[in-house]
Amino acid sequence: MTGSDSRELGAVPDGGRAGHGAEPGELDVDDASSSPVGPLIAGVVMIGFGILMLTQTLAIKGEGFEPEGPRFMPMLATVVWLGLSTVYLVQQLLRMARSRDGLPVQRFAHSGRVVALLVLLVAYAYAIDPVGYIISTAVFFVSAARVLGSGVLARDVTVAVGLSVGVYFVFTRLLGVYLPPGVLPL
Amino acid sequence: MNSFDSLLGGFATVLSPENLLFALIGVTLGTLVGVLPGIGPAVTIALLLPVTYNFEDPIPAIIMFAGIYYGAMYGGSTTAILLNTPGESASVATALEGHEMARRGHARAALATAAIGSFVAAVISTTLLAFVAEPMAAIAVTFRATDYFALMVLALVTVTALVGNSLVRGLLSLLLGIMIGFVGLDAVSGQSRFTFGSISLFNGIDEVLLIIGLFAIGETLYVLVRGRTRPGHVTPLGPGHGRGQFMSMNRDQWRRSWAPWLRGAGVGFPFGVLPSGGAELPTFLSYSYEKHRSKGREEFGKGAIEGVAGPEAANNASFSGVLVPLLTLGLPTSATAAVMLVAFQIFNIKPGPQLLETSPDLVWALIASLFVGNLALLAINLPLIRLWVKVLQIPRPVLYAGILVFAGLGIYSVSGSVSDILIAYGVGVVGFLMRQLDFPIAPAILGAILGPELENQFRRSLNISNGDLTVFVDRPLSATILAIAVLALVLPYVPKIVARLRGKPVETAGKLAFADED
Repeated sequence: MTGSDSRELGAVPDGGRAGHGAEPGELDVDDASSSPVGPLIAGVVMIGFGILMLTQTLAIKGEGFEPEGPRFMPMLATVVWLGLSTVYLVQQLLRMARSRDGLPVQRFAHSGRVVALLVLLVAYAYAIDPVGYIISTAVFFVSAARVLGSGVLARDVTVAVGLSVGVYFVFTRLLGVYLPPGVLPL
Repeated sequence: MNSFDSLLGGFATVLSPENLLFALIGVTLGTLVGVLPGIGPAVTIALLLPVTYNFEDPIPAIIMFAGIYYGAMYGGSTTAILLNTPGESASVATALEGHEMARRGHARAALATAAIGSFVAAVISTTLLAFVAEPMAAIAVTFRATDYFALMVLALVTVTALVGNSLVRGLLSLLLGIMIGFVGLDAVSGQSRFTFGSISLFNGIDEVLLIIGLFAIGETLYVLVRGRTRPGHVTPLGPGHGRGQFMSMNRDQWRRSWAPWLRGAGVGFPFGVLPSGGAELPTFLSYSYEKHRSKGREEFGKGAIEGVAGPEAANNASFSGVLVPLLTLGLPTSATAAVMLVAFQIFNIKPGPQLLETSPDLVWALIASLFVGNLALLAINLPLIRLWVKVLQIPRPVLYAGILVFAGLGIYSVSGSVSDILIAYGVGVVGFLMRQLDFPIAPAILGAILGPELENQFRRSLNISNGDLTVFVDRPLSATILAIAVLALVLPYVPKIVARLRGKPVETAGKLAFADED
């Protein structure tokens, strides 16, 4: 685990290079993680999801599981899902037991930024209607660009204002798609 | 020569100044968005759907989407050649040789052979489409519910089995899509399914939310987590027009390109027509043919022009081929085709055998616009190459923030409700995790769109047979298609089996697929 951790830290600064520096066909090699925890959690979560969907299938009103009815296909899908999730989990466990090198799975770096971006997205969703499209979009753009690693505030603000105003007028005036004006007197 | 007359009628529709303008806007927007790294044709179309929401006449909208469809593909090849980051798996083969050519100073020739090859293939394959569409629709009218069921199973199985690295992960992705497709009120019984008691889910999850969530939002989070937020290195274009060159290629490059173009088109179209998981298989078949058979084979790996010309032609031809089952059967066989189906549905157009009877104008206008769109692309693609390079140089944080803004716009314009936006974000997180864990995305999209229709045909078949399940194997056509579907499940393991028989390391075989957004 320690080996992988130091590799992860070392790889972060030149992460943007991965796309063009690697040889074709091994684009993803240098992103391989040696932690099997992710797939294991995924396997368990998928089985849990399958059980949840099983309860939902049983909650569909109807009698029995005759093929013409509304419960047959959901039941089939859920049961096969549960079976395959179990196969997936067993595969991961077997591979883990067989080798200590782990699996070709992407590492979870920058998790804080991902969470920050999701928070921004949710805030944006709630802000569009009351605040209005232009202001909420401009603020969202600038903050999202920063989370994504931009360091040039003046450029981001310029693009943000241009983009949100441009999109608003093109879509509302030219294309007839409604976007909320919000607090601006448009 | 009935098809020919109809096609002329289609051209009469398309060649009106207004529709011509929409074709041009379509190819330009398509290329502009398709050039963006990591953005393939499927998400390009999904992001641009809102543009047409308020069109009253479907024909300009469909013409525009034809332009976007091809433009996004052209854009993908530009990115593959100059940046070596193929936006979709069908461009992977192009990236292999095209980027090497660019590094050796032949970027313009690589872009030219891709663009001209795509155009040649488009003309050939669209002509074939025009002449195949009517007979195909005539055959499709005789298809029964069991045949449709079998065809849908085949389409789902091929996308799942032929795309991605693992059958288990592919099937899980497919099932996730199917379960999402079941959310909402059952059309037959009226029962709510998988709604968790929430009324806002009664209408199901809109396909547009699903596509934007899985592709655009999922991709952005994925890019962020991998730290790929710095701009890539754009390979310089090299010197401009040289002596003895025509359309950026010299005589030798033309001589080496034309045969791969024709071969690529020949491979691409049939693979597009048949459910084969999209353009990935034909592009790689073309690539490996050129690698082993063409005159320039010793140059492969160092930038052989045949390795760009063939796969690009195959890619484009298969794009047109995909429209055959989409238009005549209503059957999408790739993620991009599924998004096109959604675009049709926005205008209440139901592709299928009846479409040629109910709206022949629309179908022939669409087919004619494919010709016009490709001509427009050839005209704008090479002269505007500096503009596309500029787009490639947009700083990644700005680029992805912009993609999120357009994703938000697409989601908001579908419904306008906060809960739908949050659903799309949730789908985006799932798409992100799927990328992280190497689950293919295309099966989920196709499952969500085809799943309910599959169930519909399944129930219709059983209603006719009074619940007798043997109805699916009694009819030879249905039974044959289902047998092919089973065969397709085994097919991905063929390279590994062959490798093992030849005593080669298994690891190098079957590595054709690592992205699936085509």
